[in-house]
Amino acid sequence: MKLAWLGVLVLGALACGPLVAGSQDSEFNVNNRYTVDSVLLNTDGASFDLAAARDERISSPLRKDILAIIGEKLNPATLDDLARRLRKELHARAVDHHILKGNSLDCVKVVFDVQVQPARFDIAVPKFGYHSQLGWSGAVEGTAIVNHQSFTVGLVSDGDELVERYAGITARYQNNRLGTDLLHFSFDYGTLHDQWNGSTVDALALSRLAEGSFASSYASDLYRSRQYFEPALSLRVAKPLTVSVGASFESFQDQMASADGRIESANAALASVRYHQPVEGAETQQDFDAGYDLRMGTKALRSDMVYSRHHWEFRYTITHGKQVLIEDAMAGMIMGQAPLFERFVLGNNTTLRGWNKFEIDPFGGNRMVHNTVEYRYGAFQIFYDSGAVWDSGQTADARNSVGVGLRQGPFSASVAFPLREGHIDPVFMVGMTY
Amino acid sequence: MSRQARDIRMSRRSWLLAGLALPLFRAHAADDSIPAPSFDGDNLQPVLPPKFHFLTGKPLERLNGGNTVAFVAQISLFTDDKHTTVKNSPIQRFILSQDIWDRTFKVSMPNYGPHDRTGLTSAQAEAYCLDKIYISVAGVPKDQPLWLKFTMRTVHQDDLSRVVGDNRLSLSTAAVSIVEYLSRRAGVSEPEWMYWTTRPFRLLDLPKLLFARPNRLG
Repeated sequence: MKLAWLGVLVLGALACGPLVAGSQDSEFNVNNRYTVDSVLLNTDGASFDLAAARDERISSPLRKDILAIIGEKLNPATLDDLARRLRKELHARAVDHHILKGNSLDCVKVVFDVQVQPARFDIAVPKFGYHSQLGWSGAVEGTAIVNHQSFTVGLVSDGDELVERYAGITARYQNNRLGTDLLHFSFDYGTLHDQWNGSTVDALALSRLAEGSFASSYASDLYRSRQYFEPALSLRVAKPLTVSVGASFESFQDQMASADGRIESANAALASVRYHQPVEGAETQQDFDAGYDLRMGTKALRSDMVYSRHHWEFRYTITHGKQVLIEDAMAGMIMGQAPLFERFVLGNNTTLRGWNKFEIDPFGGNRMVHNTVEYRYGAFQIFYDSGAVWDSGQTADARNSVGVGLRQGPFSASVAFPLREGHIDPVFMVGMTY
Repeated sequence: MSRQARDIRMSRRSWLLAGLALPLFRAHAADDSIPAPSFDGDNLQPVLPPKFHFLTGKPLERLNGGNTVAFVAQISLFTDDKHTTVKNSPIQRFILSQDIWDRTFKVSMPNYGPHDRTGLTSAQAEAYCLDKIYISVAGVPKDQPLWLKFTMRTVHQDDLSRVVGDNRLSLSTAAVSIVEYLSRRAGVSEPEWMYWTTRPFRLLDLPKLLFARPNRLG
């Protein structure tokens, strides 16, 4: 009987532990009579006011909860909870908190002290998805992070993003503090094997037969494998604006050549500008994200292919409680003769959902426009995609699709329908999208 | 070197084992002895050395930063062989915080009724806590030789919620957490103090204080 009571007590302690965790500390702390007037984040010897500046690593909900303690009476239990969440989001070794005298009598400043982990190792699945017509795509990577440097090695098999399915090994070195926090350096490497859909092979062969066709002018031949090296520098010019420059050295081996056959190169100079501005209101959160990417294949880099690829994207997200509205627009243009992996594709897991990319254009296009409007309520989502991909000199054929789905965090499952006359084959998609 | 001399030499393996085992005796190495306890006829209270202060080091740093710091303390009586427990006092909890503006201390004792004290200096806060640590000798034979052990430990921040407990919820729930907590070894950042009486004593040999304590814990 005694043992039974002891068991009840132990179970009670376990069950009630989390319940009592939030309250008792607060009522015993003599400082709970003071009002919080500011919150500081102290990391790597630098300290900044969370209300005045934004740390990109901290999620909007957490930042909102942190700022909510300003103007309230000090509650040490809340600080413990926020410190735990900060530790998780910042991947820190520890996050402690202390208070300082505030700007006026009876006010205090809360300081979160972040102890950065000198080294850690992460396994991530940056992409995983299934498209009922395109099959599986996925990537897994391991990252070792030492101070401000990270080394990533990954495996990928992707039949979704480009004209071809590519599979192989990728690696990345990144230094997030090249003298200053504003300057980042990255070096990407990949060695990939490419597989081609039958419709792409047939369409390209037919196109080559027609003299003066666009294919012979604008696209490379099929290739069986490719390798790339991409060093790049990123500079955060202002808080929302980042500018990157770099180079891409890409070589690929012809599909039809023997194993020691002809190697072609598509070496390009890279430049990009990215603008990201979150705007947080009392009830709604807005997020503006815009970017422009330029890849320019040039003889100056000993490239066999001379081309320029422009890509614009704009994304606006507004969140109000459980409701999220997303507007995503993008456009692209290629001039010159570009390798097939540079060509634009629509009709996959993220664009013109419901269409099959091989049905729209078996080897992509050098012109593209696309727009998505998506509404989410909790886990439920509904979207409308429209877009066109074509080659210069041809007429653009706009296509539309609608779909519904469920989304919980990065996990999603949806069914999409192409809007067209005649029979409609729905496309099912599941996976993780970040 | 004679065979006998070689036999009593410590081998390298023994030195290695001794070195590895050394941290296990960390708490005991820090032990100190205290004289026979004071006795009011009902309760025993340890006579701690004047140099003993628990508001120092890391706990004091945390208090200076406006955090809550909890301490747990217990007195145990042992028989002459120091191995058989005669009686344990209830585990006493002290929850301290320091006012960020006037730098005075507040002491709360959640299982001791409404006994919060505020506006204390560091020395006053320590004295207030230590004054509440004693053990009832009801049922203990007066002629039995006894050893007294005093233990005090800082509660790690991660365990604070469980050890502090909540009077309104369940005292027994909190007690289970504390017993579990005290049964673990202290971490590096959790100071721990332990004192034994210098020699065994008998209750009938102890002089009685003039005034008895108003409250009895054990």
